[in-house]
Amino acid sequence: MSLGLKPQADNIRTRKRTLALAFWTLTVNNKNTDVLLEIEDLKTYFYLREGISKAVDGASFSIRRGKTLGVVGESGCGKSVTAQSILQIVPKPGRIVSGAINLYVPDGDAGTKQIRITDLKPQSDQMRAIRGSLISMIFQEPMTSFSPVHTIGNQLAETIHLHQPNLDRVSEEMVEEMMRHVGIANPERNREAYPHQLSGGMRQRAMIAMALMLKPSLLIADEPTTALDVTTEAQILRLMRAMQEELGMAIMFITHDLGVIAEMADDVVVMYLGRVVESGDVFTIFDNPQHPYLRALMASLPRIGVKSGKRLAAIEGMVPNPLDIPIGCPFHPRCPEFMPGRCDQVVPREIITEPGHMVACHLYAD
Amino acid sequence: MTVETKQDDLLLRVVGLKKYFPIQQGFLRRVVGHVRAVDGVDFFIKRGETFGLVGESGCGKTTTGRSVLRAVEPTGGEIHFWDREMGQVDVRKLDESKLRIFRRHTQMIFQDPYSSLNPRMTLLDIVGEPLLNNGIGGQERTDRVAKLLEMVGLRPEYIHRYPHAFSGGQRQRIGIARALALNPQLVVCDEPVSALDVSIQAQTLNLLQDLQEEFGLTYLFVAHQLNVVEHICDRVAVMYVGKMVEMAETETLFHSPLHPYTEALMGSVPRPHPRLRGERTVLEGEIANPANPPSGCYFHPRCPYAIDRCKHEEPDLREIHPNHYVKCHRAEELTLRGVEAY
Repeated sequence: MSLGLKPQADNIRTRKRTLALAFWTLTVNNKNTDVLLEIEDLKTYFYLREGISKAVDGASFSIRRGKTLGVVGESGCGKSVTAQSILQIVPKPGRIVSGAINLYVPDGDAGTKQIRITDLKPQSDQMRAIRGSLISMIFQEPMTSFSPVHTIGNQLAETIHLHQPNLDRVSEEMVEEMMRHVGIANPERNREAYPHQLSGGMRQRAMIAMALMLKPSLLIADEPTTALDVTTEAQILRLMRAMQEELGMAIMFITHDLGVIAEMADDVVVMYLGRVVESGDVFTIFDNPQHPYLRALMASLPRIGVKSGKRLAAIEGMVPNPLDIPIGCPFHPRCPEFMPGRCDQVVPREIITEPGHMVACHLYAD
Repeated sequence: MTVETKQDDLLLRVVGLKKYFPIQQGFLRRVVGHVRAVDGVDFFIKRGETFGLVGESGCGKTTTGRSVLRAVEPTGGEIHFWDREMGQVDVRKLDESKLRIFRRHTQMIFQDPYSSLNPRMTLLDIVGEPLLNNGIGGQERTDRVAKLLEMVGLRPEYIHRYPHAFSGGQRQRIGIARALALNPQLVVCDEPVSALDVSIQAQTLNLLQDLQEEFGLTYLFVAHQLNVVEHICDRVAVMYVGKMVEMAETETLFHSPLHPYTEALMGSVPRPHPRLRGERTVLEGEIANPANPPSGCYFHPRCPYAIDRCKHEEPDLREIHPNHYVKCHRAEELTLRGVEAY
C-alpha cells in the first residue's frame, strides 16, 4: 500500500466509524428500553487438543429489565458458558469467537446507552466496572466461591471495600446489616464463621449478599439451588424474588429444573448443544411447548401429585459431546420427529410461530 | 411401638436401628459426642416392592441403607432378613460365612456413576468381580457378564472398554449390571438418578422398573427428589435428623400426609406449571444438627403446629390409620395439605 493512499483510507475508516456510531445511537434511542441485555448470534468456542468444542454455537436472546429469564438445558447445552461470556470470564482455552452482547444502561434523559460488551477487553477497567456493579453472578456451589481461610464477615467487607474504595473502613454494622437483609440468622456470631461452618443455605445467602452489594441491574444465577435441599431451595427462591422486587433488577436464572423455571421465570429460553431451540414467555412455553426436545423433556419427567406407575416416556440416546455436534439440527439423532434428508442436513432457522414464541425446528418451517 | 405385618410377605424388618458416629476432638482424640445419624428407626419391606426413603441432608437415609446391608456396622437395633437360602436371619449376628451369603443376596447401586467404578478395571472386571469372588471364572464369567450388559441395554462388545469411555447414564447402567450379577433379592438404590441429566433419568428409572419385574427384585430406594420417589415407590418413609417421622403407601403419603414435616416437604417442591404458582408457606429455620438435636420432638423448633408438649416429650411412632405410621403428638387433630395433582 503506497503512502498516498493511507490518509484517504484512514478518512474512509473514520467516516465509516462515525456513521456507524451515529446509526447505533439512532437505533439505540428507538430501541425498546425494556431490553436490558441482548445476545446476538453468540459463538464461544473452546480450542482443545482433541478439537474445537463449540460450547455456544449461535445463540440469540434478550433479557428484559426487571424480569427473570429462565435458561433451561442439560449438560453441554452452553448455558453456563453463555453466562461466562456475558461477564467475559470465559476460561482459556475458550473465547468468544463472534456475535455481540449488548448492555443497555440508562443515560439520563437520552433514554438508554448501548455498551457492546463483546468489544471490551476482559481485563479492561470498563469490564471491571461492569462486573459486580452492573452485572453480578452467583454460582451453584457457594463453597467454591468463598475463600476457605477467611471469615464470611471478612469477605463481605472486602466486597464493600473493593467497590467503594473511598470508605476508610467498612464497619461491622454494615456487614451485619447486609447479612440480616438476606436472612442470615445471628449476624454478630456468623460474621466470625468460616464458610465450611455454615450450612449450604446460609452460604448461598452470603453469596447473594455479596452479589447484590452494589445493586446490579442484572443478576446471573447459575444453578443456585441445585445443590440445596428442597426446603432450603424454597427459602432461597423466595429471597431472590424479594431482592428482585426491592432492587428492580433482572435475573438470568440458569437451571435444568423445569419446576424452578415454572416458579421463577417470566421468560424462558431452552438451549441444546449451544443453540437456542425455543424461547417465549413462561406461560406460552408451558402451555404450548413446540420443540420436540422440550416436549420430550416435559413428557419424561415424573410429575409430582400424579402417580402413573407406567413407564416414563424417555428420550432415546445420550446428550452428544460438544466436540462432535451432529450436522444439521443438533437434536436430530434423538428426535422422535426426525425427518431424514432435512434435519440431518440443514440447521433449522428461528421461526416465530406466534407472537413472542420462537422455535428452531423444521417442523414449523413452511 | 412395633410395626406389624404378615410374616410371609416380609423380606426385611428393621427394629430400633441406630448408627452413631463418634466425634473426636483434641490431641488425644477423645470422644466428645456422637452424630446420631440414625436414631431409632423401624420399618419393614415386603418382597417385590419398592420402598422409598426420603429426607433432606443429614436425615440419615443413606446411612440407613448402608446399615441394613452392614456396609457400616449398626450401633444398635435389630435387622431381620428372610434369605432364600438361610431362611430368617438376624443380620447383625451373622458370622463370616453366613455374612458372605447375605452379601450375595443384597446389593447396592450408588449415586455417583463417576466414583463408583474403578477407572483401571474393564467392564468385564467390574461387572465380573462379584462372579469371580464367588468362584465363577473363565468363559462362564465372560458369558454371564455379556448377558448382564445386554440386560441393562449396553452392547456386549463393550466388555473390554474402560469406564471413561462411557457417559454418566451408561456408567450407571454398568453399576446396575454389577449389582445384578449374583441375582440378589434386595437392592439398595442410593440416589441412583440424582447425578444424571434429566433426559437420562427417565431411561434409568424405566430400566430399574423393567429389571424389577423380570427378576422379582425388591428395592430400598433412597432419594431426595420427591417426584421420582412418588413415581417409582410403592411405600415411602420420611426421615428427619435420624428419625423416621412418617411411613405410608405412596399416594397416601403424598396426598394426605399426617406429619407437619411431610407437609412442608410437599409444599416446598416447585410446581411444574406457572399457573400453579401461589402462596406457599415456606418452612423457616435450618435443619437440626444430628450431633446436637433439639429436645423432645426434633422438628418442634420449625414446626408451625408445635405445642408445649412437643418441646419436652419425643412422640412415639404410631399407626394412626391402617399401614400409616406417624411420629407426632398431634397427628389425630391436624388436617394437613398434600400435593395437589396437576
